[in-house]
Amino acid sequence: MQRCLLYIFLLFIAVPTAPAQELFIHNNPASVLPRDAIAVRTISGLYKEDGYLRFRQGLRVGFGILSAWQMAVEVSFSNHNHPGLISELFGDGTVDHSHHNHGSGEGDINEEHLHPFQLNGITLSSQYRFFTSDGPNRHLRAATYQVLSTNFTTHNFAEPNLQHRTAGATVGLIGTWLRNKFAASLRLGGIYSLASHEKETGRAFKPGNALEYALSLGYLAFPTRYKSYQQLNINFYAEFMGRWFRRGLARDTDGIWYYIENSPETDPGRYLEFRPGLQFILNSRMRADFSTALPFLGRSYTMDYPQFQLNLQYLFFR
Amino acid sequence: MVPIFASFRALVLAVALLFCAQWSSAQFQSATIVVDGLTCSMCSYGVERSLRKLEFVDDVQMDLNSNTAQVSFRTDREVMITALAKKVTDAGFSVRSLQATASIEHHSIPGDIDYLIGHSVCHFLESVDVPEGQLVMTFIGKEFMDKRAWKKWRAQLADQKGSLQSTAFLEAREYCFVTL
Repeated sequence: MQRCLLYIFLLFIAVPTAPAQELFIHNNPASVLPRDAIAVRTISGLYKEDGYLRFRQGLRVGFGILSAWQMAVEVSFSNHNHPGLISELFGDGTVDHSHHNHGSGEGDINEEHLHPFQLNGITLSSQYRFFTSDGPNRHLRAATYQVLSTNFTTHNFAEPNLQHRTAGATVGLIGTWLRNKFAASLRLGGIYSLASHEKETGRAFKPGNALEYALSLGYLAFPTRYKSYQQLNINFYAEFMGRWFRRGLARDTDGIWYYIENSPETDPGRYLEFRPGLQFILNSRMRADFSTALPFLGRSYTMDYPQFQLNLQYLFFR
Repeated sequence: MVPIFASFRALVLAVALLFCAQWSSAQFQSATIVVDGLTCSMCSYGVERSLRKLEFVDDVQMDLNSNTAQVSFRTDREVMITALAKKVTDAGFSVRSLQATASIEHHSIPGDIDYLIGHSVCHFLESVDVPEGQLVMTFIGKEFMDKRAWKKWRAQLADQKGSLQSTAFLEAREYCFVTL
């Protein structure tokens, strides 16, 4: 942790003449897309699990509806999830999510690996900037955001994730402050999660409701002075993201909801990840983002570390 | 005395109508917009693209370091200065200052009176000399300046009752306060 803080400190004193950047990789700033602009982003996630590589592929299309309002829809695919709930949730043994929904044993892992990719879910999000205080190379802005998500696979963890893992809704606030060389953004939201159901058995699992929080920091490393739109921009980011979630609830075929004891995956918890990232901007229209996720305070049990992410985004103007 | 000139206000109106005829050839040529809140070339590009959507805009040159847009206008289109400010806002940013250059034929303009430039009624808050036939004017209003500057002007404009409806210029499309 101390090393991470040192790196962040060095980031912000290394290039003292550079303007700050707020095109964060994982978190939206309070700013929204220009009116009538369309941002198309592919999101590719990669991590290793039980010796197998797991991929997540998302396609996100954002629309600048009004000068202060944007909407986005995201479709997500992965080889992470299985349509059914894991059997340990409904047995007497300790829940072991090391296989992350790929059946209940090693044989099932291999079987799952043969036809891994499936549609995870669709997420609809909205963001409205309600406060703006702009100045020369600075601004202070605040926005509210809302997320609605549906999910086509099951999620067996107490921690909800509406981006591609859990059905539910989120409402939150974002505040972004930028002044000269420094940009920082805070996000705080409440997640209401919905249960995953097995139609055949009537079993269900409901992740806990949660608070999500994030601090994003960023700056422009190159160029120190703009010459044209064609100039390559290189930005560095340090993002901290986490959730504070309640206990997950399971429902067996008898229809009764109950807690699962002594399982870190289904117990309540909280954590904070550190996500350093590097961003290239080409022709002032295209973004290529690279980032990794590392545990910082506690950890998320929904995926293994380290995780790697590549985003490609192109901005269209109508 | 002729009845129509019985009041000073009517006299001012008559002068304004006179100027309307004389100034019908006055046109905006270009504008300089300083934009606040910009942080990156991608943002500047968004502002430029937004401005270029206006049909009366001929070209836009953005200075990415000073965040200043130099906008030139087509001569065969109706220029709307308020539309320029709106496009900057649509791109997600704020206008710090907006100056427009107009070609005019007269050498002086008395202050505190409405003039028609193109299809815009410009209320000059002070008398102006125009030796070169070109005039660079600064637009005053909430949409044309930052909050701090507008706060200073707001009290001064409180006594100004001008509006598009109150002018005698039927072809006018917008009403703006301007200074140098």
